Amino acid sequence: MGDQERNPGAAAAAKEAAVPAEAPAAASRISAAEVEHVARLARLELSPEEKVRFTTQLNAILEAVDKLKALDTAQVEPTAYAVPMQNVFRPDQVRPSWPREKILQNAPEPQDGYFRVPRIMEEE
Amino acid sequence: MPAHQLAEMLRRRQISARELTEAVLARIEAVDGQVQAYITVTADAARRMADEADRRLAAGEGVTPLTGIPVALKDNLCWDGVRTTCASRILHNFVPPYSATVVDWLIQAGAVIVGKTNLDEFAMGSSTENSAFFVTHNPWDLSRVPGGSSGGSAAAVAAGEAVLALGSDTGGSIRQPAAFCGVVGMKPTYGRVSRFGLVAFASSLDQIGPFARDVEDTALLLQAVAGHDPLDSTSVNRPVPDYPAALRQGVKGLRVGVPREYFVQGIDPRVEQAVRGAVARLEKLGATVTEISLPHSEYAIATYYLIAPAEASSNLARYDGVRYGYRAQGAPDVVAMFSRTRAEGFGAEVKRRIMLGTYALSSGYYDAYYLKAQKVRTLFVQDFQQAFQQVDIVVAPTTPTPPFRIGEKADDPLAMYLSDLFTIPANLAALPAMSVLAGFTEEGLPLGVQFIGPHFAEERLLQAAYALEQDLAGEGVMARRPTLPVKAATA
Repeated sequence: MGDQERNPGAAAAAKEAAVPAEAPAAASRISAAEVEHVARLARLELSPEEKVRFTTQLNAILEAVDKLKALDTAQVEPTAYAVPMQNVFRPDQVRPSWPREKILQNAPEPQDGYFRVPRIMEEE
Repeated sequence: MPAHQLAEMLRRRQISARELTEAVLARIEAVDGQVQAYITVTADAARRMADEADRRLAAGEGVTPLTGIPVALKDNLCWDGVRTTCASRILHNFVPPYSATVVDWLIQAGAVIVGKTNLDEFAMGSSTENSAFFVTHNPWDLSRVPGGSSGGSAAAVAAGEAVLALGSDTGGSIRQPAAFCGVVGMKPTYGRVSRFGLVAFASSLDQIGPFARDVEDTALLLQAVAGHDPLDSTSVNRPVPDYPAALRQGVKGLRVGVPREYFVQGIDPRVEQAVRGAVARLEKLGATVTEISLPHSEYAIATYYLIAPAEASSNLARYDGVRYGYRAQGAPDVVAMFSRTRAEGFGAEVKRRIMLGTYALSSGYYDAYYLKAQKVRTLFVQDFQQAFQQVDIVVAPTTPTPPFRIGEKADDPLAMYLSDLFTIPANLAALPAMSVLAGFTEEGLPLGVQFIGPHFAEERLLQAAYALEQDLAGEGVMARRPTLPVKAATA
């Protein structure tokens, strides 16, 4: 359905995706700095309280999911979809798309038939 | 009264669709103040659809088993022109410009849509406490949760606020609330029902399915929504069987497998007793029962809580305040606008899963977490392949416990995740699975039993569930309904 392609800032996020050098504390799986880094990748502003809480909770969850490491999966192929599936083609035909007015009805800030957003480029 | 009986009365013109719809709207008016199953009640549209159904019934044209039957939709299913919120602040004002395929098909069948039901925000949760708007209460005990994430749909059917309902199931979100509310809920095989117009959570796991009072109604609603849809490239082009015809075939000779791993992990003894009781009934009716092994069961939660958040973090990237939904005001640049819109628009559980999923997909951790989980997913597929060489269906608990109290697990995400322990494997392996009533606790809380089948074996599940239900009905178990204090009707 193409759901996973529509990712705003995906290219920018990928560029930033290298993990910061700071190593997590010995006992924890994810450090506060990594939580901040992941929040930036996810375009999610976190409050100071959320940073503390998510660091604790994500550590607990990651500790729980670490039990997968006990399984030897060296010879196992990954599964993305668990029913047999193949690529589906459709005829390349021109079809009517949604009327612009109907789509813009949901826009927080429509202007002249466009979606208006805050400044993207830096000002000199 | 179940839909199949109401449909008969509608066809004989003993009641009109308008009368039935008014009765359901009156019931909502009387009890929804306490249950809080609905985010939006579409009374005007329902009356119009009921009148249209009455025209069809009078003319005897285009009449289906769902014509004139009041149905509720989980509020993550798009309906053209009707607010669809996903119980999230970020979509609080979103009005979809199109309908989900299942909604179109229900309308074509002549069903009457009475409203949009509450859910955990973006279907992430197991109690409907994660709704950004309000908590839904279990009609059997208002101090307890209805389960989740489709808690509003399950509670609406249990409380008589809808005859049928649709939900969605990513890790148990139909079956777990069905068990907690004492109704029937089915997650069909992945691809059996189109997902077009279902707001995406985890695309490789999500599946739409029916809620109903009984197994026969479940078959009727499944019949109406199953089928191939060119608008969903993962929907399967394969003939749809006659589901109601499968019901009365009995279970003589059916090979039932009971997985031993589902009875060791902190299961409540009342749940175990109810499930073992259901298995004994099937055996009495002629099924053969074997203990089987699904050896990787204990890894279900860990696998799911990597795959589902990873897919969710990608799917939910679209909520950025540009094209629809909530937008934070006053941000100096576009990245700050994205980040603040998402900070203000999403609730805690959604943020937690976006964080977890983004981490599991990020450079340096992808192999250790996401790829590892996809490999373990293969082991789940293989576990069931081996099981279905020995048996025709697997019978197991739906949930480890009866419905828990509101607030009991709200502050502990891991404890909440554990309530999906027995439902997740069917999503990982794309299998059809359903929950039906197995009995009640001493204090009157419903207990569910789960049937899991091979791919596209929905008929077999319905057949076994129907046999169990008929046997329980003989002892009056099915006749029990929640008693709710009824508010006097207002003019």
